[in-house]
Amino acid sequence: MTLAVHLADANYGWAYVIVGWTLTGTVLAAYFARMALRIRRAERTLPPEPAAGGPGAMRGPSGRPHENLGNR
Amino acid sequence: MREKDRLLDPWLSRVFGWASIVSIVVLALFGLWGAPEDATQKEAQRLMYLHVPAAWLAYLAFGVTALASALFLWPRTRSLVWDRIAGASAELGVLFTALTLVLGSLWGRPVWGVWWAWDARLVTTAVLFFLYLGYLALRRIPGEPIGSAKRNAIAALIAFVDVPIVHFSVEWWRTLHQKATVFNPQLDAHIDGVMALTLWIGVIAFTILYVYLLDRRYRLASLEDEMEEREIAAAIEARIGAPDPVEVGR
Repeated sequence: MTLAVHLADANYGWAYVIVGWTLTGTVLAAYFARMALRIRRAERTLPPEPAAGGPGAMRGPSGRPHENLGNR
Repeated sequence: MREKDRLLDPWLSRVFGWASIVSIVVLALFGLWGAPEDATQKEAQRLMYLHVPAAWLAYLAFGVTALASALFLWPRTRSLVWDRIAGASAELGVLFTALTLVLGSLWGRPVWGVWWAWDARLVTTAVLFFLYLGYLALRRIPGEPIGSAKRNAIAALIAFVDVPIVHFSVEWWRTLHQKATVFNPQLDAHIDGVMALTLWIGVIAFTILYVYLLDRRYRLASLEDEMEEREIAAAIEARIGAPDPVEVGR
């Protein structure tokens, strides 16, 4: 017995392929570009580091200035 | 600068960036021209070379998020660096899960005749997308760093439970979605020739891209944290340097 496979719209498959590949390329390029711009902007606008041990220096639980607790 | 403000050395990051571009170009050449047309699905099958690597990357990204979260929760390895890696990887996971769903829908329309079906694989993948979208929303809630990171890590581990459910859904339930072609329980790949090669190029290209984007996203998170800390430090410094309002009022 022959299994008949009926595809809904396989003759126009290339159209879906073009849309899919273009969409993927655009999304990835846009995500990368946005991130690169945000990194550049952050690097430019980073305020100067306060003097280590100065009154405004960040202190961790141990009291050491700039103890790296990181952040979210 | 803080001790860990980059994941990769700048030169290594650039290597991954260029390797991503080259490998994606090679993938496009193979995926759109090199690989033969599928006998049954015709040209539509070429979406597989993006859909499968995107799904693999979602698994990988959420796996890294879960691992980093576990390392944060374990007291001996606790560091907010892990929390930052978890957040960066989850964002990439959400991006690639969204791509997996959209590409799957575009592939399903010509082959199944529908954009969407209430199929176990599709539904569990959509649940995965929304779970991690919720996780990213949770991360934006302000709070004390260590406490927030613990909450985020627990949420990430809970969300990860859905990953094996997504993967094995095609084995556990009768689904419209086909069973695993490569990573099936027997590890017997039901694909060969140039098609298999193209699929592997896709998986490798997307993995290289993931490493590069993870490094960039981590760098951005690190800079944003640094900026926040310095602004707080400057505000404290200004407050300490300012005249005492009580003294001024006398």
